[in-house]
Amino acid sequence: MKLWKKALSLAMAAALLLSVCVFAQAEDVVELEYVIHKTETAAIDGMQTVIDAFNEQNPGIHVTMTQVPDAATVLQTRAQTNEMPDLFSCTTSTMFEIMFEDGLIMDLTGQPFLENVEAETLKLSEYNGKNWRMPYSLSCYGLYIRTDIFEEQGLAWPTTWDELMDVCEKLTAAGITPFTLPDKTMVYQRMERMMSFISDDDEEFKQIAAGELEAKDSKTLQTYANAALQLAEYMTPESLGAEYTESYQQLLSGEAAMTINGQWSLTTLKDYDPDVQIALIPLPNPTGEESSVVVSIDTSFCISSSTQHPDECLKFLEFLSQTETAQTYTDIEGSPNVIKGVQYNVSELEKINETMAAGHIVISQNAIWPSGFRKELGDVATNLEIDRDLDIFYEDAALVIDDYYND
Amino acid sequence: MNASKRRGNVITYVFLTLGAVLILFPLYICIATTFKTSSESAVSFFTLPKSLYLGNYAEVLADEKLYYAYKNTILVTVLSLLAEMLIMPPMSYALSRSMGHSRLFRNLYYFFLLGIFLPWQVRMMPVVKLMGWLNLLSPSGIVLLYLAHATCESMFLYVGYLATVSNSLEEAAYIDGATTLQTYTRVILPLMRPILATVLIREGLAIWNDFQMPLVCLNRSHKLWTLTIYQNNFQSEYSVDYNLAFACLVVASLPIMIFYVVMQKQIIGGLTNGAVKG
Amino acid sequence: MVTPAKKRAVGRSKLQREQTLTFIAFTIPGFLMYCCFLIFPILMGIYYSFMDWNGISPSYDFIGLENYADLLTDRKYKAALLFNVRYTLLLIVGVVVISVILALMLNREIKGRSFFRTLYFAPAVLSMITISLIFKQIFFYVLPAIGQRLNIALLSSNVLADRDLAIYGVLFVHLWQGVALPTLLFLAGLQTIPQELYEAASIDGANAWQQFRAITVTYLLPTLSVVLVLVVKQGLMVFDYVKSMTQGGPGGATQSIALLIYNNGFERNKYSYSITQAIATGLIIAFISFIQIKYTSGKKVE
Repeated sequence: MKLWKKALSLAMAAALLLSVCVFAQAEDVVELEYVIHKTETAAIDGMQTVIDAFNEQNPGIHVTMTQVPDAATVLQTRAQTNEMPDLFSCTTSTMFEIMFEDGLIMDLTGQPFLENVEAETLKLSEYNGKNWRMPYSLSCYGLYIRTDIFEEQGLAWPTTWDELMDVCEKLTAAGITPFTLPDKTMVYQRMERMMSFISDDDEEFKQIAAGELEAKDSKTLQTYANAALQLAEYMTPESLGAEYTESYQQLLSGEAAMTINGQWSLTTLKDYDPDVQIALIPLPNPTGEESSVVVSIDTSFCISSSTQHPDECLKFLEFLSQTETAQTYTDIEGSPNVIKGVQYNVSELEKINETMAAGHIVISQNAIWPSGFRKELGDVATNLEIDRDLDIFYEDAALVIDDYYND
Repeated sequence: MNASKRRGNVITYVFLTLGAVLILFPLYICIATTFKTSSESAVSFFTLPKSLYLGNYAEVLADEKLYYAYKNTILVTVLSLLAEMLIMPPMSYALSRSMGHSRLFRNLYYFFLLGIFLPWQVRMMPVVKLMGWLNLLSPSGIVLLYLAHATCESMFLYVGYLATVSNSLEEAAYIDGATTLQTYTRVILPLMRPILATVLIREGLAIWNDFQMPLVCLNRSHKLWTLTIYQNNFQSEYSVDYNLAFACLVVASLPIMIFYVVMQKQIIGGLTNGAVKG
Repeated sequence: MVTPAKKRAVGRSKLQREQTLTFIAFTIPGFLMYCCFLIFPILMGIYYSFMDWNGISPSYDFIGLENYADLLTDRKYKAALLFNVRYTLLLIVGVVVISVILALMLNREIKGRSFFRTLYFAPAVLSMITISLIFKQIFFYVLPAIGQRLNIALLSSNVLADRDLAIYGVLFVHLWQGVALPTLLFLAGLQTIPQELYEAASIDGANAWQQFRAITVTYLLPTLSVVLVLVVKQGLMVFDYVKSMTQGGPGGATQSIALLIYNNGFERNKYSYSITQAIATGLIIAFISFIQIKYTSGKKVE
């Protein structure tokens, strides 16, 4: 009995230590690992289709996609064990900027395939004057309207803030709540996008942090706060407790006629109700100036500098940059692509695409704000909706700005 | 006496039934949702499914990733529990019976307790580095991590339980000339059955449902995934596929539920077997 | 605790030596595992808390106690600590009261006991992610509907959207799932009580409450001590429940320490500082727990 137990425990310990997985690969095929930063089915299907096509065209290379629920954490930890994947996609975040600085990512500056990317977006994606990533798709943010409700009520699609407020008045008079907003968790996103309209940079925040400007005199904060209070008058009472899903459901059920969100919501909305009649149009500018579309780079591709196969990785990016590939991906994934020549025809997004094509684009401030800042200022913005008290808003906003800009 | 017992039983039933409703309602939603399409659950989340839509289960069950996840989760959980069962109870017995007079063991006890208090965040990044150095970022590697973590919490539970078990039986064994090992296997281990079952369920669940450790240690390929990682993929920043997520949950929870029902018998078994105590 | 008096008869020193050796052998495997895979990473973590590491770069500098000094003036940490203390106190009361009552009830010899025991454990089996998905929907649709129908102002809107009530919403879900294991522990603890004690007590004319206080509570104390330590830790480090139910909102009202640590470590890239916060919190938990262990172990069953 005793011996048996000892033997068993020894065997177990040995098994534990020995059963380390060892990967043996076929030698003549170059294996590349790509980590995708998205978990949406559409994005995964899109990438898989593109990868399959690439693998077929290049018998000597085999790209496999790794998908994880929290890619940023995974990449951060993999950097620690020097196991960065050969290829990965990312959004804009400080983490990647640190990786650029630390040389964890290959410099793509001057690669010929980058010429297939729209020049403006390419310029935007630079960091320290270099191209560390190949921008691929954008996300844009705007106003979703139920076109059928607008038609029934005989309302025109609003193009200015005043028109929007007018529409809200009329809808309310007709007994329809104008807005449903995902304000339980997403106030910060709308706040950041609206502030991106109001000012081109964060100069005012820097001044507030330096004590040169009072928060209540900041045009950014003032304009945003007033607009937010106006919106709060017109939203469903459930909005403060709603996340994306609940606000989608309110929009679909007709409890509200509009919501403010990104083009990424369209897939889910259509999935929930294939017959829904909606359109995404530019969100009117609360400053009263011309309305533009706030965009951010949603997907870009990077190559790790530690890869054993840089040439094959570049070949993959080159493949991605072809118009045909990008078109395939866009048709499946559904967000505006920045590869030249890609057609983007989604009827619900017609209006917003027109505006973007006319060059009325504003870049999301999130790219220049300190990381984590927007979520915390978002808490202050949420409290503004609850308290409707401007003094508290300015006071708390100043604290958060001080915290992040004097860090 | 009998009347008061009956009254007690009535109160118990009322209370337990109310509680049961509180537990069953969310479970009902979970199971009902698995039989709906996403457009149906978008409009009627709480109603019974209009028809038994099996597409969600079909989709989950047809995904080869599920089976890798199953295999890994079972491997990790079973190995961890086996090792834990072998190592922790004797150690806790040693600590429990020596703490009173041996300073070494008392200090060891407090040393083992330390691990309970320091949160996971302190060691998350170091653990990844360490396991990377040792080339142990694999399902079998994280068994070691779970075991190390179990050292403190399981030990704490075992020692706590042993403190309530009077030592008259083991003393009798010692007087009969039994060695410590014999006393442990013949007297103590059977006495520990209720807590053994409880701790194994506790650890089993914690490991089965753990997300953070597999996320940072087992992300190289979906062949290394556990069920929680698999399940988390139905939820993204922008949307949740409730139907698939819940179907996946039901599929993932069945084994552990069966495990519990079996283990629960052990706890009740402890009740009838361990009648000679105190 | 093997009393020396009894062992003297069979050769005290020899037996004691044998026992000590066996006990040491019993302890070694766990000890090694614990040191390698738990204490060592923690020591590495403590090392990082003296650095200015962002969690990504291969290089970082030694900054001594600067992170710890920053912590003392961190208003967000203080606010989170206050939230966690409140949350923990509520959680302790909730878990102990509910799980003791449940354990007592599930220990009665009633019909369907096995069914109830299985059912009441079911919440523990589900993963946190799913539970939060279900409850968020309940809080959004069901509870306000009930509140409006019954005219309960407090419940007529989503509690998770209310700065004062959100903590209770999170707590409710935590209890819904969190009482299952303590109930099991108490149930196991109840099995150690010799039935003769109750019989003797009722012959002496003690009523149910007196029996509960004199016998049940005494025997459950060690279990209570264990449960308290685990609940204190859960409460002070609560993460999953808050992250998935409210994300720290509304307006930061449910910002917990663990959430703060996560945000600092992974969103603000202040990894060293986040570890410092985790260590400080660990020390607080250890301090509370040691006092509590000392206190309860002083009242052990004889």
